[in-house]
Amino acid sequence: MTDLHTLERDALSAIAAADSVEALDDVRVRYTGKKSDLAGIQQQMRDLDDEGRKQLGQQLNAFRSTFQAAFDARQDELGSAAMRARLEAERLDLTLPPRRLPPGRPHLLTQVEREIVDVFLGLGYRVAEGPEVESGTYNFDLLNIEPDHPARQEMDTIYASFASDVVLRTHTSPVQARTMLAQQPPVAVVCPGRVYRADSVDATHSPVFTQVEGLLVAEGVSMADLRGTLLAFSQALFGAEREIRLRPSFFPFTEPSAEVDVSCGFCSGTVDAGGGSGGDPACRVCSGTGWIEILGSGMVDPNVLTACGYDATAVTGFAFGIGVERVAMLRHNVRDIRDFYDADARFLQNF
Amino acid sequence: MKLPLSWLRSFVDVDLPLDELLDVMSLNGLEVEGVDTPGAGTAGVRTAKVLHWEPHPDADRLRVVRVTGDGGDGEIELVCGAANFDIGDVVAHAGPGSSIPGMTMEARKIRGVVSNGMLASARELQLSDEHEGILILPGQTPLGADLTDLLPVGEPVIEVAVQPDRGDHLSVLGVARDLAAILDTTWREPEGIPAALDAPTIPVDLQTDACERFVTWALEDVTVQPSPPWLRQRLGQCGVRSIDVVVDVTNYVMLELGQPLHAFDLDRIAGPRLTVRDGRDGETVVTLDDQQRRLEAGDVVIDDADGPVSLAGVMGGASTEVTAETRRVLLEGAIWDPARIRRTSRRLNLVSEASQRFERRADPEGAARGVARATQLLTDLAGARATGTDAVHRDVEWAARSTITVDPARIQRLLAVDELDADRQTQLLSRSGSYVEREGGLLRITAPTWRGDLGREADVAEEVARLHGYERIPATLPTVTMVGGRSPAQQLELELRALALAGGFSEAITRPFVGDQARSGVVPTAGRVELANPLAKDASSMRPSLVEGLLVALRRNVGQGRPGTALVEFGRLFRPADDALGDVLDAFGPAMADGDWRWTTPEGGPLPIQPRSVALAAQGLRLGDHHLDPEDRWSVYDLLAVVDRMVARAAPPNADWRLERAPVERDGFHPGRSAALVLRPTAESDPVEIGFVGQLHPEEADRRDLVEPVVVAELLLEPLLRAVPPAGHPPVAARTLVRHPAMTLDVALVADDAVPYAALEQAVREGAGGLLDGLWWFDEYRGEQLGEGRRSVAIRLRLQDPERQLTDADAEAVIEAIAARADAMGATLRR
Repeated sequence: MTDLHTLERDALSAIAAADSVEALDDVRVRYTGKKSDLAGIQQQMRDLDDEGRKQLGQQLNAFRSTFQAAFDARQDELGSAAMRARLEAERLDLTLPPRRLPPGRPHLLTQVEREIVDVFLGLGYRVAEGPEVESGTYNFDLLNIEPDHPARQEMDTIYASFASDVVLRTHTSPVQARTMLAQQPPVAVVCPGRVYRADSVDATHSPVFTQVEGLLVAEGVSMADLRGTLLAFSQALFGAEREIRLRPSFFPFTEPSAEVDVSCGFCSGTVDAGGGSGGDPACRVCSGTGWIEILGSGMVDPNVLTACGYDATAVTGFAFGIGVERVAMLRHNVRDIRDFYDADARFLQNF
Repeated sequence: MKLPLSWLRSFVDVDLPLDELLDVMSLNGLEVEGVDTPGAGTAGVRTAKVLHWEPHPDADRLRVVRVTGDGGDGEIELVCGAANFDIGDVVAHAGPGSSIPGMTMEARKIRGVVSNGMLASARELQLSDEHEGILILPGQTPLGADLTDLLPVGEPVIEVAVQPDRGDHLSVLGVARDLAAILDTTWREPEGIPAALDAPTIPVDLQTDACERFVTWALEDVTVQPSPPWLRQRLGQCGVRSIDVVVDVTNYVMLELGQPLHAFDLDRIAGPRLTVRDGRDGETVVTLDDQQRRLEAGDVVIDDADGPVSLAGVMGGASTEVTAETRRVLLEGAIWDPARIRRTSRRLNLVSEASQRFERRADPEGAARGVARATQLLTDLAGARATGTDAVHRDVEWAARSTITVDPARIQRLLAVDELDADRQTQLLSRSGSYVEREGGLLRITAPTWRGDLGREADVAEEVARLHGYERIPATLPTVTMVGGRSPAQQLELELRALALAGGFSEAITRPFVGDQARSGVVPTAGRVELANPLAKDASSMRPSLVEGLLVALRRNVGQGRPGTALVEFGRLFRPADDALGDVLDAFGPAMADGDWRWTTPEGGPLPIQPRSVALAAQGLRLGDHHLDPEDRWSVYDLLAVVDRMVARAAPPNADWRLERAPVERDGFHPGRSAALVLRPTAESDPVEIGFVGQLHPEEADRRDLVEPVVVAELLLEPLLRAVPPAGHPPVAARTLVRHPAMTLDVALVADDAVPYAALEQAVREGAGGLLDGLWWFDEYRGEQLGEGRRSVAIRLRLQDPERQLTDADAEAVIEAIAARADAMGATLRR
């Protein structure tokens, strides 16, 4: 018969020797299970007198609590070691690239077009769209470009072959005509979209390019409003410190017409009070003039207003046309216009 | 128009530094395109007389020459390769230490003879393109003079862009006149122009309204010879080739005054008179460039007794051309209808210096002055003697000089410049040659004869603004305020774009031209919108589908060695108006809030079908950021995931818009991996094809040199975008979140391979009925115990009831219901 003291000593050393949670559980069964020595000692109780029973009961309780304490301590120890081992085994190299597929990027032209459009949405404009294969009437006639007008020839138009007067629109101005024919003033719209010219592809020419044209017609619209609007646009896109300059020009659909230059932000071209300028002579962008030509604009020609059903004596308006590629090339240092349309993934993911 | 500064200054006093002059020009309507300085770098080149020459002892083509030295004294020896000079000629000697453009002279030995510099040619001095030997100066030229004191070698030549409505800028005088208006100074005409003679020239019969006036001078004793260096230089500066003194003078006067002139050899004109008349269909005339031109009604010709001798306003005829033997010349200056000249020039694709000026309208009052000026010059330079003058005139509507009345207050409001009152406007308009009268509050304006562009109040507003300076227009924002922003449909388009990008596709924009071999995605047809003047053979039509452009783009990226690429493009595709694609779009009519998807001409005629669409294309591996898995290839399912999500996003509330996949076999695509994407526009309508998804046929991929797999999808966006009402769809209502726990149930159905998954899923959906909250396909199994050609498909269901907690009995009921539905369609539920 093993006495409790021996049993306790053996049990504690067995607990200490157990090297896994499973082995520890074996120890528990061996020392406290139904077939254990402890069970044998408990059997002795019934042969003892009250005093003896009480004494043994106290000894058994002491054994149990000592055993349980040692068991729990060892179990905690072994448990956390297992967790540590697992965690160690599960260590990841977090410098590995993630496996998730990266999202694509919007095309640079989409980004710039959207930025331009958003400026005008903020000024209360809506977005108008129209067909790219367009009637010559909308593309030319309603815009004061007569069939034999030199301006019509200069536009290098691509024609559809199924009808003599259907063209790939040479600007998004026909959308303005469609808008005016459908809606009475006041009207304020921007017309983004693809336009076409019969230019062969090279570094600076593309038969397809992108425009955002704008139109505002209402009572009492002045050329100062045009200037203020384009100044707001230029500062939003090119920086708050930019100035603009208007130069007389000719467009069939506007009169007066103006080319608009923005002060060069690449060589920090400065503008003096008289509108004169001083750019860096070595500046690649403005060639030292201090100014960069960015868009064409003007007051809507009365012939256009009349042709589109407006009363040219009651309302006036302005229109402008922005080349999205040109803005993108200036701002992002794109040197070859072909890059926009060649869909090279390196270009598409760059911006 | 190129403007030598010295020439410009002969008509207007300009003492601004060049930079400031250019700025003033650009800011006031004379757009400067560039400045050239031909001959710049010439220094120390002096005139000298040839004293002696002999052949080089050691070179057949060279001469050893002695010329006068500095100050005309002494002798200098040099070697020269030209042979167009003789003893006594005055030449340009670039001696040691002097320089010509790009070169500094020094004495050097040429085949054993020391050459002290060289005799310069006009080409070397950049005076003109002539290269027939060295420059020979007139005999009376002082010797030892610096060449730059005799000719403005190296002076600035300003090139101005001429606007289509400013034909008056096509001459030096015209630009000088405008510059004077801009600078508020005076301008002057050339001096010494002779007055008309009393004697007649040759009778002219003016039979057409295309000619407003026809002025002639007859000259005798003309010596046709080379022009003097100063004239050749100016022509050279303006980019005009020197021919002989007669032709050169007509060109010179055209450049100077803007009046095109023609010189006939008077002895080669047949018959007693010239007739100016409308051309007739089928007539021919041989023009100066020796081309036979076939005429049409609408052209204008000048006849002699033998028929047409000139294509009026465009180019003279060869039969009466001035030659070296010509002694008698008829100089002609006329004014032609701009529209007629424009049409003839376009039709014959014959653009001449003359036609360019006439079609932009020449100054009617300048015709007589032009011919007289040429007479003056030929008298000086060719020994000509004027014997007669004639001028015939016809009143025609197109040349009528109009007077317009404008409201200066309205102009002031349009320009929003306070100081631009009626007085200031009058002052500015007078400066540029208009005659202005006050008439109450209005201005009556008669524009100068050279300004055809001032016909309306808007034109006057521009003239006033330009001369006052656009810079003085203030900057304000319009006072009118409007509600702007994107429409709900435009907003949806942005969201659909974002979905495609989130799927890992980069946005591409391709040129929308295709050749004959283009692949189509959605509803392929043979219909093409062909171009009348395509830029290339492989760009003969507009794209009938977005697919072809993306396939070409994939190839480009494969060529760059990328292991995988995924692209998306948003854009329009193009089909003829009667293409079958139109039926598809029409079928969506009942679902479109804005069903007016066809574009028409103002007359209501059809324009091609051009719906907005999206296409996706992917090839090779699905690449992560700096990560690839050689097993992880793009598949049709990746594209379906995106288009399904787009349709789900665009679907109107309450519309059951789910893309169904109808397997199809189409040229160029894998027969087992291609499907038309079909949709019922409304619950009542038949399904129509709105999209396509497919993997490229292995042979097609190989033909295109693409690494497999190559997958494409295309979806028509037009019906989705037009389904959005102008005010947007009603707001999405929140669904009540059920509080009772959900039950998860896995079922497996066994069926023949031919039974599509969609049918099995449908059976499960119907069986689960109203309790179904969601389901997921999660396994597919084939094995011996199922039998050949059969598969087991496992689906996980999530069941929930808003009113109560589900029990095992509910699960049993669902399983039995699914089993019954499966049985009905030839499948079995695995138990």
